Amino acid sequence: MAVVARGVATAAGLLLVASMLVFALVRAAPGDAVDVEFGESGASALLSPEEEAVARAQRARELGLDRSVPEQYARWLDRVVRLDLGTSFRTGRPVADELGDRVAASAALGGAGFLVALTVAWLIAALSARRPGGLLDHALRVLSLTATAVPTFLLGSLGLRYAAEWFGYPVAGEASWRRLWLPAVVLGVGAMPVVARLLRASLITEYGRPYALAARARGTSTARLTFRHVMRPAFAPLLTLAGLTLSSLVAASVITEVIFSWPGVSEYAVSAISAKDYPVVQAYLLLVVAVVVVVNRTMDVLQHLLDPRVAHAAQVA
Amino acid sequence: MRGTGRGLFAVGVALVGLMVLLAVAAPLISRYDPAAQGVGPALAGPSVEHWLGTDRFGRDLAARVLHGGRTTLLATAAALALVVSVGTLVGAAVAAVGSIVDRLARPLFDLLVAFPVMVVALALVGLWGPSLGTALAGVLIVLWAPFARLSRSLVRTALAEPSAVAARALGAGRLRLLRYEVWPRLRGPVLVLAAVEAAQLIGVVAGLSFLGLGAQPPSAEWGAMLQEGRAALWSAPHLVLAPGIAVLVTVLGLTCMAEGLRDMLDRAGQVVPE
Amino acid sequence: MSTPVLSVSGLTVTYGQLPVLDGIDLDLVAGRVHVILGASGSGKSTLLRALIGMVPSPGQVSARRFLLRTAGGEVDLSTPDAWRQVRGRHVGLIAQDPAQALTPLRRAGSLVREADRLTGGTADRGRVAEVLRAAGFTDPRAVASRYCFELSGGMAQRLGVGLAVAPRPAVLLADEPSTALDGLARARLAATLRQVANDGAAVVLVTHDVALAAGLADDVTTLDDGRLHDGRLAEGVPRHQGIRRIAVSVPPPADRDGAAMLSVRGLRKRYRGTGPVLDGVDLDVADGEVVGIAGRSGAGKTTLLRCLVGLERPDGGELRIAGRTPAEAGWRSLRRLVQVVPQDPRASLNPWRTAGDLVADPLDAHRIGTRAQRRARADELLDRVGLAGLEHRRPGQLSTGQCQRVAIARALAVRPRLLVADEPVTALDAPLRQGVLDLLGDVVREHGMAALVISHDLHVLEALCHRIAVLDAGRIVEDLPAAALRDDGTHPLTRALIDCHPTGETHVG
Repeated sequence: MAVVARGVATAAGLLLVASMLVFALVRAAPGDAVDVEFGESGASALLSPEEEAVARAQRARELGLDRSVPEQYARWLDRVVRLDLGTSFRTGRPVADELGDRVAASAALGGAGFLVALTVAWLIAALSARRPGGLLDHALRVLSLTATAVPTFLLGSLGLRYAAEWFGYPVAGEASWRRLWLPAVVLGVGAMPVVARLLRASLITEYGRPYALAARARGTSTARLTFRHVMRPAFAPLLTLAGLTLSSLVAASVITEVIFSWPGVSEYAVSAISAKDYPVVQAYLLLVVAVVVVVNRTMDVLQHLLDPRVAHAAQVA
Repeated sequence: MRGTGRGLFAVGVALVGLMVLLAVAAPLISRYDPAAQGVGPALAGPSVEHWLGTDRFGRDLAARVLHGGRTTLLATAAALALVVSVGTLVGAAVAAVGSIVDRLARPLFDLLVAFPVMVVALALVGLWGPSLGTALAGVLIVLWAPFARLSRSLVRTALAEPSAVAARALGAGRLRLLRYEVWPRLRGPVLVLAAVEAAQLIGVVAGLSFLGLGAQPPSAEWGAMLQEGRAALWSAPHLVLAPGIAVLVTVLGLTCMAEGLRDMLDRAGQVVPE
Repeated sequence: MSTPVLSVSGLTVTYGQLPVLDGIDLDLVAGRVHVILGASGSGKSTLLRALIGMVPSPGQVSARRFLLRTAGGEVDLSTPDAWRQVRGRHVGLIAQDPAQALTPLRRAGSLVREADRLTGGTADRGRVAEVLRAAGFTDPRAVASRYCFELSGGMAQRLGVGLAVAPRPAVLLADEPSTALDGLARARLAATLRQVANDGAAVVLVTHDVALAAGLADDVTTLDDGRLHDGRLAEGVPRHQGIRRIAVSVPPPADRDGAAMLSVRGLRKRYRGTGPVLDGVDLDVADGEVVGIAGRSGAGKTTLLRCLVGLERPDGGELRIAGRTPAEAGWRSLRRLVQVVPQDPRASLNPWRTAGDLVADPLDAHRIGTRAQRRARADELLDRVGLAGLEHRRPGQLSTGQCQRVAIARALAVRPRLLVADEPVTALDAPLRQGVLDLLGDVVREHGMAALVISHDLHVLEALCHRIAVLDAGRIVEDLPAAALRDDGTHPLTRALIDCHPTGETHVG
């Protein structure tokens, strides 16, 4: 599978570049690791200024902060690759474990949100592509535009408030199916319009192609035309844009997790920021970047598999 | 056929224009000082005296939303101008230089475009501490990339257009090509992207502020007001609703502008950016 | 005549206020091939779409009578719902471009099975093999498992025809079915269509391929401006759509050994990952001489042109314009001497600028004269090419022929010494070609400049040039005076080009 191998290779390259960017960002932050440690542990209060300076220099050497930047990066990367992301200031547990406990909840919410977005978008696109410019098309477009414009926090917080008041929606608690649906809908509404617009355009293009015409001339019904002829090519270009959807999903999920107290990684990261828990912030950034790169590459590979023409063209070229 | 998009674009311009106008004319519209406490009862609902009600310090909410628009819109406009110009120039430069620079820059642009803006801003806030400036900076770090990517590909295709090739063959220099061949093909798509990204920028910054990681109270800024309102969500939802709807209308306007422009470009057979 | 299978009268299709078809009467009889001729824009495709009940949505169809007679009785086709049972089963369509007309991401066998089920067949494995074998595939099993996008053009054509023919429709419509085909495939297609007619179907063939039509037609009608006229092949379309007469009988320049305007020696160019595109081109154009370059697509014509005007840097060889190499003189000054009339006039004009601006553009770029002088020169040139008063129009408001005239005027603006015309009439409809060629010949003579004309059409070159060079695989393989080419040309490619462009009535002038 040359396609898969190449996908893995580019993903590795991009992850490396991304790691440099993250490292640069972390290094550029005010206060180095020593400041942070001495500030947090309160050790400085017990030491005289001279003693503290000595202790700081000692600690800086231990941490390798006196070395060159590339060398520091190499050591940092080495630790990151071994998933040694430091320990949380607040809980004293390794950050990797803390995040690991919460990944499942975030993935469940993100996946459910994506599913909602895809289902609604597919419905809207299929309905409006049947008569472009028709009344239904216009109405659905207004709906899509409104959905784009409603801020997640507004929909989320008001949704939570009124769902709790009217249906007794549990405001706080563990991640559970009973609590999943509302944040998933909020998430899905935000990501839906982009998908719907692309899918609609894609469907209209495919309906107009000669093969669709020829299929109709052979007596194919509209439904059959949609599902058996047009759908697969129409979905293919969508995959490359799944990255776009992903980043809007991630953005929306930060807000949604906090509002719904959903025990995911983003909610954890936001609470860590208020507590100045730097290792968690860094680890969170790394995690999201890694997920984004991996998902984007996967979509690329998937597109090759879904549309053999792409692979075919690649071989020819 | 979906109409020309002109109507939609006009609606968008009208909405955004309305919000700008309200912000600019804030002191003329509301007679209250947005920072003055106790001008009315605390946490009152909308009334003739206080159109949108009051917050828990008895400040007039309408005045705060109107004045808050000034900070939010100005900060957004400044940030946007920065990313649009930097991104477009970088992309155009990369396309003009070509060869190895182009081949290295392209994957970098792609990577940055895929970065979730929200998360980068969040990380920056986490490392530097919450403020409107930090949140904006976090957005700016990545938001120039879409413009660079777009302008790179547009400049490249524009220079390969038969009319550009013909102009070169007839003796047109770099500046003439830029002015007559590249610029007309660049301006529309960049404007679409600018409207889309402006909407995103406002949404992300407001979202961060809502979480308490952006603009800080007591300043009259939509995000900061949202954060204050969030605490009183259960007793007085209008505190969130008022600035929330202000954000909504602005974003809706920008989205309509982008959609309308997209249609217009589409009809003219030009590139339509995502 | 026996009773028609499909009879239509008063068929009208309108888009908004605009009637595209205006009262068509048509009776299709079993066993006959009915040819419909028509220029582009005459409503041919709309007629076909109407005959299979698929006029796209804003179009309004009305007919006094629209009746199909099948074994099961008469079907009234004036309502859209009636078509559902008819399409595919009783009326079949062979689409124009077979490769585009097959769902790319489906396997051939799956399409056959689907079509068979829709038209009431058994749709089992044996039936699929039968249909594919009937379509001319010797190994149906291998074809059935292939994706349609993997099929070659010829295979796609066979499958497309096979799918349309398999249900034995009473009416078979064929939409320009031969455009993408070579000679052999065309003969095969003609045989198939005749066979279908002999088997008892009425065949409608919409085409501008006169050779195909002549061999098949039982009835001929011409579609013009949405109305049908009885026609005969001889009158329907000109036998040859190229150049009717030699436009410019230019005398060879008196002074043949005058200064070489263009001199090319051993010009080479290769792109990354391809073989050599130019493989040592030698070419001379004397002052005042008009030279043609003929060649098939892919011969390197366009690359040669790009090298000659400095859009492409050659890998080797020498290029002199008016005695100077680009390195000595710089392209900026050489471009005042060499101007180009590009291939696609519409695309090569900036759509945002007016005709006047476009013509003045080279003057502006080279900063020749004052602003007022440039505008005056532009108006004068537009006047010369027959576009007086159109200086404020943009390319979108001009016809393709007018665009080409703007391009010619623009190339003349700086009074170049050498004019390079790249396929100057290929993008134009046949009736417009003569005028543009006349104009080109006239301006070249008036300005007394040299010209290089690039074309795949020998008639165009014969009409304009003193001398014709034949380019093949990056080399000049023949270089003869235009008048002598037909008699003295020996290279196989030259012979092939001559065969493709027979003389006949083209030698009128």
